[in-house]
Parts: sequence; structure tokens; C-alpha cells
Amino acid sequence: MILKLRQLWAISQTTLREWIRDKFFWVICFLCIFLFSISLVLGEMTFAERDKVLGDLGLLSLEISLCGLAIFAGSYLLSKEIDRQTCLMVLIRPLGRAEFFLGKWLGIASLLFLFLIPSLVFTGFLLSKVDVGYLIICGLSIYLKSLVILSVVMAFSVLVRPLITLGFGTALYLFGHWLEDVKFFAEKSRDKNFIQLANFADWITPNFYKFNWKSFYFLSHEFSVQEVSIMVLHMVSWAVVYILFAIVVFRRKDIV
Amino acid sequence: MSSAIKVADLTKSFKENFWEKPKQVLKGVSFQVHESQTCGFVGNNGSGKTTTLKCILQFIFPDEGEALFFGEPLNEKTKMKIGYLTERPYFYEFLTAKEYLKFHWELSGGKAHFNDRAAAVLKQVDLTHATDKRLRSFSKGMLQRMGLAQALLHEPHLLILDEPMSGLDPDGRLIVKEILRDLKSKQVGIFFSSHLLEDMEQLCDELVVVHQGKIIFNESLTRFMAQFESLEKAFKNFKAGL
Repeated sequence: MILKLRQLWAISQTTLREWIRDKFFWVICFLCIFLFSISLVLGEMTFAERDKVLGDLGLLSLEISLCGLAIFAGSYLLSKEIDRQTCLMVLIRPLGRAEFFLGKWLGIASLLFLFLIPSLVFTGFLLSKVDVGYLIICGLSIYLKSLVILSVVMAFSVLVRPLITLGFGTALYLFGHWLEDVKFFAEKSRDKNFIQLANFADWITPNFYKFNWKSFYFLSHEFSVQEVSIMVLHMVSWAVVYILFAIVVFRRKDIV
Repeated sequence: MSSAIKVADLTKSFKENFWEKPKQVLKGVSFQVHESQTCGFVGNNGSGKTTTLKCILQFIFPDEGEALFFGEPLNEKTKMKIGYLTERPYFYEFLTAKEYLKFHWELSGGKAHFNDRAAAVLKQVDLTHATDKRLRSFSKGMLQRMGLAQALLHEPHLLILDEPMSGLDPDGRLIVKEILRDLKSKQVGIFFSSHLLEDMEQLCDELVVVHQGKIIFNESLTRFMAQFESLEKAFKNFKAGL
């Protein structure tokens, strides 16, 4: 058990180190700073809506950067290992493919967490009046969303080429936000097939719309424990489903 | 003498495209490698050498057949006894040589004395001067030796090397050959694939010859070379008789 934990730690540490030393990570950091700067300028240009603009755009910048990083890193993480066959010299060690996959996942999850913390602190620092607890809950919803996206793209990267995974991850992110709209239009259309299709999509897609808390409104919204618990349970369940699916497929995959 | 590797009836088919019929690459491969022996695995391009190595190490799952290491299937215990180096190895280039070895040390469950062990293997492969250099800056020969260092780190009983000398310049080949000779003298079992018959002749005790997915010879090198002055001539003659 201790050996397994040490192996997970070693793989996640190495993955984290790989991405921190990668130029792409710093491009995303720069992009995030750029988006924050825009929100700062726009906030100053308004009279009484400074905090609203800063809150809305600040959280949006954070989500775009975090989910973008999750989609990109997740799509290329395993495929790069398989294409270059670097994973072979790791998998010959006394560890299973499940541990290898989980270690990689944890590495990117830590990277996203490292990205989240200074961004949240910065957002809180910019806003003149903000409840730290609500800011943390909004940050948590964004972080968990990025973890679901990461799990999805890593699961699909085991099956298809990274470019397709990249497209699929982006599509799923968007569709997860449009899910309620699709269901609404399906009901309005009264078309049985459309309604069934929308309900089926609801079953197989994480609902990001319901927990889309990246706006200033939610920074002053009183969250109930139940609301937060459902959000956490929803996101964690989806992440676990995709991780399990990926591990099952990856354990039987031929690394040619 | 007991077997370090025993492979029985390995078959594997691949589909190039979803709609195509699978093509059989390995057709009942069976052979054995004895403990503490140096065994060469030789065959033409596309004959199934790399596929066989990947199958026995479970990177690829065979359709049928099995491989045993020291009498047991590949598991966490047997993996501790094996060191492996892939063909044309790529590494985590963002790591330094020492960081890369530390990573493999953690994966192998190594505990104390990492620094001593890392220094010893780096000295063995003549890379002491590059301990704190990033792998990105290594030449091909240095990377190959780094690969050997990670394979030797946990003091394996058996080394499995896929084309360890391919693409190396004469100096690089000489250094790798010296390392293998040194390991051989320390009774470490070595199973390596290569096209370079001259190297095989100098290093091997045993030989496994694969041709179009089938094993056509698996005995001692001396028996293979009987009546011939070089392995190249023996190989040419052997192939002519097929």
C-alpha cells in the first residue's frame, strides 16, 4: 500500500514538474493574466459596476484558463507517453496501468490546483467587498468542472487521437453548459424523438449549466449546504465514472 | 540450468484498419533463455522481434500463449528482477539525469541510499559528469547509456534490451558493449535484440532466431556457428537452408 502511494506520488510529481517546465503552461498563465487585466480595465471604465465586471470577467478568465489547460493537458498526456513509448520504461516497474493513469491524472489535478489558488487570491484581492467563503465555493465549482473535463479527455485520449479528443473535450464542455437549453427546446418542440434524445443526453453528459457559478451574482449568493453538496457529488461522480472507464480501457490497450 | 524466460506458443494478430482482416505477426513463438546467460534475439526487420518483446512484457496482449519469468508469470515480484530498455528510447527530457533516476527509484520501491546507487550506475555508464544536466541536452549515445542506467538501477537479475546499439556511433557502440560485457561478467542475464551480428557474436552465449513470426533456432551460439568462421556466414547459410 505504501509502495503504491509512493508510486502515485512519484508519477504525479513528475507529471506536475513536466507541465510546470512546459512553455504551454506559461502561455496559459500569460493568457489568464491578460484576461484579468482586461477585466480590470473594463471594471475601471464603469461607474458603479466595477465589482460586477471584475467578478464576472475574473471568474470567467479563471474558468477558461483552467478548463483550457485541462482539455489540452488531458488530450496529450497519455498519447504523448504512448507515441514516444516513454511509458514502457515506467510500466515495466512493479506498478499497474491503473496506478500509472491515476498518477498522471493526479499530476494534472495538482497543476490545476496550483493555478487556481493564486488566481482566486488575486480575484479576491481585486474585489472591494467579497465574502471569502462564497469566492471559495465558486472557485471549487470551477476546479471540479475542470477535473471532470480532465477525466473526460483523458478517457477519450485512450481511444482516439489527441486532436479528436481536443475537439471532443471542447464540445462536451460547451454541450454541458447548453444541456438545460437543449432540454427546454426539446420540450417546446413537443417532438417525442427530440425529447427522448435530450433526456438521453442529460443521462450521459455532466450538467455544467446547473453548477455554472462563475458570476458576480454567486459571490453574494447565499449557498445552502445541500446546494454545495449536490454540486460536489455531481462533479465527483462524473469524474469517477470517466476515470473508471478510462482505466478499464487502458488496462487492455496494446501499446504498439 | 533454470530458465530466466520461457515463452510458449505466443500468437498475436494486428488489424491495420478497422475493416481489414487481422494479420498474424507472431505465429506460435516459443523459446527459452537460461539464467545468467547472454542471449541474442536476431531476425530481419518486421520478423516480430519487438512485438515478441512487447508481448512477453505485457505492453501488448497476446492472442494466445504465455511467458514466464523465473518460472512465474509477469507480476510485481518478477518485475523487480527485470530491467528493460526500449528501442530508440525517449525520456522525460525536462528532468535531469539524477531526477530521472530518482523517479525510477521511487517506482521500484527503493528506499535508503539512493544517492550512492545513482552515483554507482552513473559511473557504470560513464555519465557522472552529467548528473545534474537535463536529459534534453544529452546526445543519442548519452541517452542510450541513461536508458541502461535506469534499467540497472534496481540491480535486476535479467536485462531485456531492444536494439540497444541501433543508431549509435562507433564510440557509443563500444561503450554500450563494454557495459554489457561487464554485466555479463557479473552473471546478470541479458536478452537483447539486434541486427548487428558482429556484436551478437562477441557477446552472446545463446541465440534465438526469429523469421516471419516463427522461432527457427533457439540454442547455444557455438552450435549455431559450428563449421562457420563468423556468425554472418552462419546466418547466411542458415537462411539459405530455410
